[in-house]
Amino acid sequence: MLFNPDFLKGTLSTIILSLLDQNGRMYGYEICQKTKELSKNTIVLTEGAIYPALHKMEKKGIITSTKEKVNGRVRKYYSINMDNKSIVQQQIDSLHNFMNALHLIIKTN
Amino acid sequence: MKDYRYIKIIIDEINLLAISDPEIKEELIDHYCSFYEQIQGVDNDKMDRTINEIKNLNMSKLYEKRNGRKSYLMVFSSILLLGFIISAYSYNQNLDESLFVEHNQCAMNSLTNFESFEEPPYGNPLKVMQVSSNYGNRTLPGNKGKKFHHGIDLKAPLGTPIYVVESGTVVDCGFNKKRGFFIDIQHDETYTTRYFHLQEIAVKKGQKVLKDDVLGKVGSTGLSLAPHLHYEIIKSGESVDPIDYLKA
Repeated sequence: MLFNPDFLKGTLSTIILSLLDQNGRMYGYEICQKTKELSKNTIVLTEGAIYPALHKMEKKGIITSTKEKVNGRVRKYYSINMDNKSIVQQQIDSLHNFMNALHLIIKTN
Repeated sequence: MKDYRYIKIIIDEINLLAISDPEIKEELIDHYCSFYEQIQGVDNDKMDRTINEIKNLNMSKLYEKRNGRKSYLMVFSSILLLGFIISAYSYNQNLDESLFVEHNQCAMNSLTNFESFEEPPYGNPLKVMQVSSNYGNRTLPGNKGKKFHHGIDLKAPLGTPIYVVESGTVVDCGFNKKRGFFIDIQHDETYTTRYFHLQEIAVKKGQKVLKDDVLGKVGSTGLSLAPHLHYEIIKSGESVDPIDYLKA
């Protein structure tokens, strides 16, 4: 792990929302894989991190889920709840702003 | 003919972990089947690297302290190590058995303290909190004896907005002689919060509300001597002291 796991705590739900925003609907494992791939193996999400976050957001109505039969089992797909699209967009934008601010402050030698 | 034996193995392994929620079980089965399908058909080199990666990932936490209160999360202990076992089944039956035993034991240990997903309604229904009457036994005026107060009374001016303390669904709202205008919000299987004596209700029965949505305004309807919010928390059918769930 190339970073302090505490940094992921506050940003995990926004990471998930950003991926769902870009990709429409995704299932848990797919979200883990995409994060790993896009971050070049830096951010590796485990099932212990992602499913609690997804379930909590679903409970809050931020995302919704549908089920589909896939290869001998049932798969749950998540997508952003369109009723809350503006709140989601706000959250993504605010993380983006924060990242830009960090870029200006954090320098390495 | 496709070989679906791996699905049965994964289901058997996950059943070992005795997860009570069938939805979560189902999701984890898909997670591991997807993992297996992804690694299948790759060379031994990639297989070794994948197994090493799995071995280096840390165990998930079982619970987390949030705002000084223990909050049990739905967590899954390191059953990602199931991937280890499943990979071994498929590619290399000669892997050291003691590794499986140790990892399985870790997974079992953390799951013995398994608690179901439940988020207590932790928060304040009013921006400014002033408790005028506590939870529990109280003496009625005019020496009419003692009565159990199932919630707390929060003094506030007429029209003060009331905020829902945690996301949930409006299971009941309306008017009755005792409560005046009231709202009941169900948060999950265990917790319901109740708000009485409102001046007006801003929600409908069946409506889903998010944390901090406005439910209505403080009033003095029903059996009320002065404007205040009577706030109750019902846990598993019984009232509990809301003081324990308020933010300082």
